[in-house]
Amino acid sequence: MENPIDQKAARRAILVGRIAFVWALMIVARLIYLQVVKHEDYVKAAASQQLHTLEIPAVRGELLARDQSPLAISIRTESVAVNPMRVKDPDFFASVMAPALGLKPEDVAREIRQRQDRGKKGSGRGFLMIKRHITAEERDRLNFLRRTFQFEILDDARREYPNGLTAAHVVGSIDAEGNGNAGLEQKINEDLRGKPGKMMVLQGSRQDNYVSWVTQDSLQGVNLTLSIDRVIQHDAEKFLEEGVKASGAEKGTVVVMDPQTGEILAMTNYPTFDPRHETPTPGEAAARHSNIAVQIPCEPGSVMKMITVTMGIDTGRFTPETQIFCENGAFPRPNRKPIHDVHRYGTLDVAGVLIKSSNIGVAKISLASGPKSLYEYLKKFGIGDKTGIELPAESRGILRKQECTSNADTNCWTPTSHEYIAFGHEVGATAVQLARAVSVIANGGLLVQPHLVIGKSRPRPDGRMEKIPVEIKPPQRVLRPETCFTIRRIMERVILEGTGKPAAIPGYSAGGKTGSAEIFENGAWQNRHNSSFIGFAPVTNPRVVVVVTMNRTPKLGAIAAGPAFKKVAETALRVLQVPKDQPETDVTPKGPRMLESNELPENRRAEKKPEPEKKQEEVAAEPEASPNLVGPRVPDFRGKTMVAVLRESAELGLQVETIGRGQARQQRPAPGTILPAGARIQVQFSVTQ
Amino acid sequence: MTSTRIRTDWKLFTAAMLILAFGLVMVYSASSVTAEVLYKKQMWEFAARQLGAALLGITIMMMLKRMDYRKLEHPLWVFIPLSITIMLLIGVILADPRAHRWYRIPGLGQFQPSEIAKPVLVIFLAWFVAQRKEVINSRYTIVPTAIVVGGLTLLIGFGDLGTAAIILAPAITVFFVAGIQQRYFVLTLVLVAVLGVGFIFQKPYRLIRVTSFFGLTEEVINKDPKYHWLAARLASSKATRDADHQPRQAKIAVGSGGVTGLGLGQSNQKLGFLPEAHTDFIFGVVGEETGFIGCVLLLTGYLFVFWRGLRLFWLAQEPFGRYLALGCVAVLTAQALFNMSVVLDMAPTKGIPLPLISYGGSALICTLTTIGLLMSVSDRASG
Repeated sequence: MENPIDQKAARRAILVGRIAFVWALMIVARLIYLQVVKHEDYVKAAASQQLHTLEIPAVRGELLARDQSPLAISIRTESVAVNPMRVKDPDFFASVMAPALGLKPEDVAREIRQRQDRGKKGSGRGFLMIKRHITAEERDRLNFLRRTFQFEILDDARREYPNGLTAAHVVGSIDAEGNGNAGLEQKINEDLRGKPGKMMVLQGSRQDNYVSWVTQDSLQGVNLTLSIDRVIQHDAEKFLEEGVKASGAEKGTVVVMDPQTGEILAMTNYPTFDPRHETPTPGEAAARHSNIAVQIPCEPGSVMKMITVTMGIDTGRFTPETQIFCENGAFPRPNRKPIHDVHRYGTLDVAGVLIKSSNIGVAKISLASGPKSLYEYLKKFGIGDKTGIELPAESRGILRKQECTSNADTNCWTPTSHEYIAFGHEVGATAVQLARAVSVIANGGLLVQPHLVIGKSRPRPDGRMEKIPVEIKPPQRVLRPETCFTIRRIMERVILEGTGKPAAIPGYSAGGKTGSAEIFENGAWQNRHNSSFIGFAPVTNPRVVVVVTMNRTPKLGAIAAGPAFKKVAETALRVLQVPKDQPETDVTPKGPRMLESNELPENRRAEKKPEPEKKQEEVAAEPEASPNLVGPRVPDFRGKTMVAVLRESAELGLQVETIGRGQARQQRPAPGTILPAGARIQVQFSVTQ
Repeated sequence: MTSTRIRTDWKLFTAAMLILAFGLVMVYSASSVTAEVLYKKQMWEFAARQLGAALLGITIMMMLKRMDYRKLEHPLWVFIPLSITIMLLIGVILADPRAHRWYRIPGLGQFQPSEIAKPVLVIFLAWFVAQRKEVINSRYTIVPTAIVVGGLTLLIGFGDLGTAAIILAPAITVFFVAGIQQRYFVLTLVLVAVLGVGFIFQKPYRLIRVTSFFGLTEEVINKDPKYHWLAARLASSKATRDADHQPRQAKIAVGSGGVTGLGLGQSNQKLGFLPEAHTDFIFGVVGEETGFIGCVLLLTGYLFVFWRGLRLFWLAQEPFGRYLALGCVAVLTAQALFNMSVVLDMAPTKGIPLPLISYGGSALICTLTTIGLLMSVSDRASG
């Protein structure tokens, strides 16, 4: 080798090699420390910054009416929130964000400042909802701002009430956090809300998601089908409002129930509220939480006589024909004021007592039966017990215990209570309780459970619907059917000949009972009444029970509540397609009915004056008005083609004026009428030109 | 000088190519998310550029391998590249007023002149030591050399302290092995230390990285009145915030890899958590995806290259070849070990690429050039 290696240099080169080797060993040691010894810690640290748990929102269940039309549905939306503490320049933030969301910059800036000021005092929260339920365009605009500002777009859901105010008190409403605060929304909140699931997401440092997997399935909210019938409900609301205004009442309530099953077909209160308002207007705030039909018992007054008379007959002490002396209007009681009747009656039979609504009569029935029996029958009718309807804050009514535990016990009947309870004083019942009590009579002696939910189903993750059984207490037999039948007949007479005449339903037989309890407040009688009407129709096989209560009305009984009862019951019977069982005596004959017969009423022929120019309907309705009564009869062209129409009219020698083409749809004059001389038949075809 | 038989060192070649291939895979894995999310480009963009640079670098490497390295032992080959490099380094301070590191070439990307300095300096050192073996310790030669090396280091250190430290590694190694007098050696080390401290204080981000490496994070400094003088220096910059973020994320990456790793492409830290995941901190992704086994294999690969290069010190025919090989392996190994130490939080954070692995065209080409020089020596060595 021409250039021998310097031995010292070689040793130093070996030293360099050793240094590198030792350094490498240190790296290996460090790798062991990090990757083997501390491995678990770093896996945890990595997971804590990479993996995030997201909530899979559960969609709130829907509330559907009987015909599956939606009463309350949830729509997924998004909302924008910000942590005000992290906004450095509220004015700048607001000036950019607010226009993108269609808000006023000053408002947003002020809100943020307020929160920041509160934050400095230590009571602030790092959360400000800027706008809820943003639109798609707003969302697009925000996407551009995401890099500039720190704000959050949160999953949200908006509750829609497609039918507006219809069944507001039944459906209820929800608060800003999506929990029900009234009605079914509140009572069945847990079921409706479902349970949110959990999802793990692998997130990058920029909150960009890469991989996600579900760790817990979400439980969707239960969809409820209600027994509410949309049409009956709507009309009940309309007629109640009319009734309340006509009777000068402050409040009112209507309950329509199927007596056989206890399904509530309609339930409404006045005043009502708009469930679409997340924060109620001042006028609505009280109404939202006062479902009078369920929550507020009032003295039923004479309505209670139904129960007293039922007791009298069911126990066998009385028959409908049993004569009761009604003391000519004043029943003197020892050491007390006498019991008065509105009208003076001498002797009435038991049916007459109910028909004429004699306080003295029922008081005597009650006296004869004794308090124990009355209490027992009140309980049979469900007075003083919650009905178990699926609405919040249900009142059990007012019914004191019959037996006193001690002398100091005030929450019990006095020795004279049963005289007054017999005609509905010292007792309180809600409209739903009254509806249940009437149902006992209407359905032949069964105590049913009033309920609103007739179907439950839950959407499953695979898209199918899972049916959930609805548990309803089976009806309990509390009375003999014969008694109920007897009472129904008496109650029918209440409407026909007694106090309930304004409640008569044209075309249907109906039974009912009026009631009016004067309101005693602040130590004085107010000359204001809780007037109610309870009833059912038709009498032989009642399909519908209607309870109407007008609160604080100056009018009494059926005058206040009867018209509303009549109209609501009429709608309900029509919607339920109940056949009419009575002649409609008070209905004036209508045109189309006349048209059915070709014979003209002889006696009216001469009365009518000739009217040469008539509209189609009038011509159709009153063909006798034509001066030429022996003309040709108009054939029926409807449904025929134009060729057929022309051929037929040519054969008959009639002039036809055609409009459009296609099939004949309408014709003027109507078929069957007599064509005036020289007149043309106008035929409208399906395709207009 | 007689011409010797050319015998390719296939072991060295294979080792280098394996590391390079592994590096391309890792760049693809580590850069795909960054490319897509941060730069809105195709996910293979960075990997493709790296492949292009690798092909160019391999071409240069093969050319150097064929070329007899002894041709380089001529002042022209030494000084012309050296002066070009110095010019480029001065130029970059003006061209890149912020970081003093990169030339931006439209259409091609960035170009880092300090990378060129590595092979150029290695050649210069080898030439100098081989030429002036006898007078290495003479004042008349050591001073100009110190000026050249020092000047180069200063120029680089102005913008890129990490590369400057790496530049010094072959210099110190070569001089040490060549037998520089102890007093010069100690003097150099002291000088380097003083300059290093100066450079560290020059930029707050360097300062906080060093202090937080020793446990003095920004919080501690701001709280303790003892460190007010440091706080004053740090307050001038925003870059000081969360200085231990990078080593912490790197440790999470390596640590969560465990023994076997999460599997190629499975890294989660590269989703924006680990800064510079495809460049200076790519070893973190290596640790996370291939685990302890992969890291040790990679380290073994570097040590293998180091050993193949170091043995040339004995096998090379003449001093120039010896010191050229020594300088080459010194610069390669120092980079590799230092980068790993930074990622494993054993050294303060410095921007040093992992040779043959980290993304970066100029660095890869220069590394392959260095390996080309090494192979040129190796092919012509005896035994």
